[in-house]
Amino acid sequence: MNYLSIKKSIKQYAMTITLIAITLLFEFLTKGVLLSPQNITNLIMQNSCILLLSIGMMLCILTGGNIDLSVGSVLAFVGAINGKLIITKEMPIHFVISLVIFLGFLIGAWQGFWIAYVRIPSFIVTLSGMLIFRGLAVLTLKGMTLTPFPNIFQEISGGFVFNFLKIKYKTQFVTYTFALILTIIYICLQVLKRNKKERRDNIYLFLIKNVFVCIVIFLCVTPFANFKGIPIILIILGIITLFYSFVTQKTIYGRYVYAVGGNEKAAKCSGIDTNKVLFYVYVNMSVLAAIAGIVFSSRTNSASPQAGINFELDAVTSCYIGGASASGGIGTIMGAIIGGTVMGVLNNGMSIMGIASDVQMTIKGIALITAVAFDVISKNSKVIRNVV
Amino acid sequence: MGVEKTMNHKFVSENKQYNENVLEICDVEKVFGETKALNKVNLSIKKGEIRALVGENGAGKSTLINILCGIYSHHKYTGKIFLEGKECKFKKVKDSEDVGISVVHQEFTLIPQMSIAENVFLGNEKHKNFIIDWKLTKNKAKEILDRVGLKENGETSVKDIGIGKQQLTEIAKALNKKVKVLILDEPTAALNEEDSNNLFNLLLKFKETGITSILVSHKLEEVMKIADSVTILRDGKVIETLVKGIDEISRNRLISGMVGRKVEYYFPKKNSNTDCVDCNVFYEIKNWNVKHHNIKDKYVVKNLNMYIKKNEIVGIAGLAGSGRTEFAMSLFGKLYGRDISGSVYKNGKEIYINSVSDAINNGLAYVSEDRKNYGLDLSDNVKRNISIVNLSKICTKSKIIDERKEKEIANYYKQIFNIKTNSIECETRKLSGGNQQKVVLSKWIFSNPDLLILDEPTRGIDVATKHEIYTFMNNLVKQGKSIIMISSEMTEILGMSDRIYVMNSGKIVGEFYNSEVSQEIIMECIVKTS
Amino acid sequence: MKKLLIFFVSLSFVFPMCGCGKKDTPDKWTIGISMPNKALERWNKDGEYLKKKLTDSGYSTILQYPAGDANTQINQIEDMEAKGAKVIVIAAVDTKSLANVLNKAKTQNITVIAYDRLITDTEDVDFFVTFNNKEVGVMQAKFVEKKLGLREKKGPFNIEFIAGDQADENAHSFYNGAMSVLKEYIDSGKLIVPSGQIAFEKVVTPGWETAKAQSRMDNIIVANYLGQKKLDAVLATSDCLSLGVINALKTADIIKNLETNSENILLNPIITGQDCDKANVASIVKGEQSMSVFKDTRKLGDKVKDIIDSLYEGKEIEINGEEKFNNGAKDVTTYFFEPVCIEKDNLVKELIESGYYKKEECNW
Repeated sequence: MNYLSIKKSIKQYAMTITLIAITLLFEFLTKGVLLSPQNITNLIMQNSCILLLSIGMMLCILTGGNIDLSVGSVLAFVGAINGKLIITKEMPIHFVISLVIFLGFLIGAWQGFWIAYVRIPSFIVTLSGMLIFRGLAVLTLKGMTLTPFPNIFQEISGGFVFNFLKIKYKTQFVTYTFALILTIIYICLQVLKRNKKERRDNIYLFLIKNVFVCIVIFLCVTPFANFKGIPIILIILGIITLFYSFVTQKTIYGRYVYAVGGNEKAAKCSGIDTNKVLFYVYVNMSVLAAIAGIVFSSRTNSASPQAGINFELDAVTSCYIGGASASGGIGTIMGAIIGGTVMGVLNNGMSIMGIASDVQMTIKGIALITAVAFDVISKNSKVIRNVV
Repeated sequence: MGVEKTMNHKFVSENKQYNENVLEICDVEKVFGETKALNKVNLSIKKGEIRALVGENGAGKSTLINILCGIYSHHKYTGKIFLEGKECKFKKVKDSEDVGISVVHQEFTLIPQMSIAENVFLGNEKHKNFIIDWKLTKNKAKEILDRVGLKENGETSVKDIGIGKQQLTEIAKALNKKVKVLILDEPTAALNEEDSNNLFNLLLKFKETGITSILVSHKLEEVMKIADSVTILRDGKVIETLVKGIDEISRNRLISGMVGRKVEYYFPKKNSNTDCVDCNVFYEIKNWNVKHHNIKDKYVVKNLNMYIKKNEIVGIAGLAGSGRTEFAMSLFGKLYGRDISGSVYKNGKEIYINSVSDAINNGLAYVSEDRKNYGLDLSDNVKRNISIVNLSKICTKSKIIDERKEKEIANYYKQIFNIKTNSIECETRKLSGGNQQKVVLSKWIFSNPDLLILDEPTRGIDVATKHEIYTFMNNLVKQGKSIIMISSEMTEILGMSDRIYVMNSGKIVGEFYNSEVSQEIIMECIVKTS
Repeated sequence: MKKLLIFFVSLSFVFPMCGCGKKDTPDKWTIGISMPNKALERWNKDGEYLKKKLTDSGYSTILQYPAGDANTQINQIEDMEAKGAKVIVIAAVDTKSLANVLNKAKTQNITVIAYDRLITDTEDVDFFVTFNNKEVGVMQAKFVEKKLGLREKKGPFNIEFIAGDQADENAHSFYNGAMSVLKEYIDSGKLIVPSGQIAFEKVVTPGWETAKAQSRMDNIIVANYLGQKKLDAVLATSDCLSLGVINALKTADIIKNLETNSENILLNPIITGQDCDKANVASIVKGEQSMSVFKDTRKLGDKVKDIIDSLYEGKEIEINGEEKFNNGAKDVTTYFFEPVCIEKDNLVKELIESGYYKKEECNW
């Protein structure tokens, strides 16, 4: 039993283990640069867009292996409108941000309508979206790159929380205080959860587990404490990730997404409005693409009609590396995040090492097929019982 | 075991004098993990024999078939297989086909968009220099179709012919490969009586030409009718082989061999609901019309009127394609058909059902005949499959699922339905058919319905589980629920129903109380209106 | 639901209709103009300028952008031939793939002008109008040489390279031009590349993407410039790359806030560029970017118009700055223009006063 459960958890955490292994490998190959405080900050800033997109993409893939090809173009279009309004028309930033997120909602509704209610295959609808919104992005910007954004807008992807809040204490002090608050909240939640349970597990085990988590939290913030503090984008990304993890794992809506992906006919027969589920998954995808568009504009400090080319493929890659099933119904948000981080570390590590970009591309391709092959093979080699 | 061996030997020695054994299986063992799916199986089948294999789900029939046709390659099991005296070591399916063993699987392997002829020669195309020779294909196809008695043009698409004809196409496909041993896995599961009979006549014809058939079936009546000998498997072992004319082959003997105990009551006794006769009508359906969802202006259900009382099991008998499933699915939130018209009353008040969730809210539940496609998410676990219809019952106000409650509920149903699985976290695809059906039933009981529509509730399910499901139906009725049962098994309809509707070509053609009806009357009723 | 459907359906019809409805009255010849990609500011401007110039003098024009796809460009050129164009001006997406379609043009007596990019391996190109692209890299490198005082044997200095897309012929030219100047200093140790990324295939930026250049710069800084090492120069071959470099240097605090202390300009690394995109013009004004190579593409447009006029009137074509340039099949009559180096000092004169940009366009 114990052996089996260990084997099971190895399978479950295979990607996390791979991530750690790759990180250690590059930490070694780059002679310690990879995990330097500034580089960790860079890693987060470089990959935030793809991670945001892969969260949404994971939901699309969950509903039956559909991928949304239009996200890169939607990102560019939203970025274009955003740039036009902020830079050219000088409209207030908060207003523009809410406006373009709403625009993302409308775009999603447009695509979701065709996919969910008219039942045109998502591949075709989003392929058309890819063309439509890229075209509109070029049209909006007349092919030109708009720049620069006001400083406060650049803070979204490049800023740090404590600077932003104008907290004057030393970065290390503030960061560790923040970590302390986080751990206290975590422990309180754990204790509450434990008290609710009827069959409590061993108190020592419980303590060890919590102490371990606390240590991990402190280890995680250390790089930030030694640089400029916690990046604003990390907080945004963290909140969105936790929110989507929670929704998919714990709520009815999440369950519906999995059910539709697992077997749409059965889901329909169980009284689930499958059209509505599909519709909202695509709405959601475009809203996240809009948010990613804002983040991307902020990072490159420009609105460019060429923004986000091939981002859809990067997002899909993250999801599949993170354990999503190509036929839908299997995969988690954390998986997508881990998959995206694996790709990010690969990119970053190889770039630091100065590996040429053509070689990088080849290695990333190999990484994708290896990850998916591992997943498929480990599933197939499972003992087949009850086939008879 | 001992008994079996001696019997087999006697059988072998008897036949050797005048007829070689075409197929011999010696001491075959196959292990999955820790369970022995096959345990020292010995079988000898002579040329031209029709041998039936019976056994509960999980007895090892499918494993045996998979070994015989090369799905499990020869180093994955122990033991030997001889075809016409030569030892066979199959590495893949092609190897077994080459020496003359063909399998007609329970699930069809036809490609619906292609023509009959194309399907028959699929993977074995008649060609000249890799260019398909259509003339030869056509002529050969006609020849083979004549042999199986399929009166269709070879160019017709498979999707346009009925299920019985599709089965014949499947057999034609097997014949095309110079077959010596034809294995049929549940060939009549989807067929109506007429098509089944055609199929059996065909097997008899093959027998004359020296083709051996191995028939796997749950339908004991047809086994008794057609087979020359019957081998009973249980828990991976051969229990006994009965030969027609030597041994007595009776239903009771087969069943007790399969389940390992005597089944006294095939259908559990229940307190008859005579008091129900005076009950008020619970659900009533009036003037129900449904059109085919592809073919314009074709009615699949026409002017159907039906009522169900409380505590009542209403059976719907009829041939396959008579519109029973279509009726049930159209009633259950318009899952099938177009231009659905008619009205539904519950306790005399009209209710409106436009979606599945309307149906569930009005106390309906529908257990589909196709549990793998419409009943379960096979990739998901038992727990989640049960809770999916009624998540709001185990939720907080903010729609967050209470997982503790969910587990409790799943465990509760696991217990009362006796679902055999290690854990409620187990993927449903790993369960046997019977246990899968129990999960589907749990799911719909959890939705707390008033009227349960069961469509072929025991199809492909072993005898013991069938019995459990029957018992459960009786308990439900006792609790004040009503059941509509659609079934193609006449005995089941007669054994379980209080009242029976007979359907044919989309219409109700007869209504009987259980006490006044027999199989013959129902058949006559169908034939008369055809 | 049905209303929603109708709404969306009608919307999908209305969308493509915007933009139609313009009408040209053809007087003189029809001229086809095929530019590579509408999504790049540069080609947009070129196309519009050329179109305006030609229509103003009475030609009717067909201006098309194949969105960076070589195959689409071939199809569009075929369409132009079919519509009776007399002259086709082409800035090729893929300079090697046009031989067949141009051969067809020749049989219809169509004159082909290669615009900025030489179409190779075909005899059917008549004229080639371009800037001296090799010179671009040389100018950038000479700028670095001058500002750092390399000729005066100062140094050593730290430099990094960022080049364009590996598949783009011009990216090679730019890089090679720059290296022809700087190689001697690298060999003699006066210029050091701390990242060690010198070879062309190591310094390329797929798709000329700003974000990719930015990430690469981030990583170079983290790996090499966190200690005492000072970054003295970044040779970025194009403005879209410079933009990414500036962002990365800002994040890493290597570029200081200039609005508060103008002396910092001297401390900032030298960053080169090319094309004078509006965004970069603002950067030059702020002192973040040091220079950009300016190619006044209107000169190309003017020359094209001159050639067409001469052809139309049947006059001899003026031969100033004419040179032959071999494209692998023949020597093509070529008109070279020299690019101009733009710094903060001459920016206003060259860009604004010449009317290339309006001051308020550039957001500074």
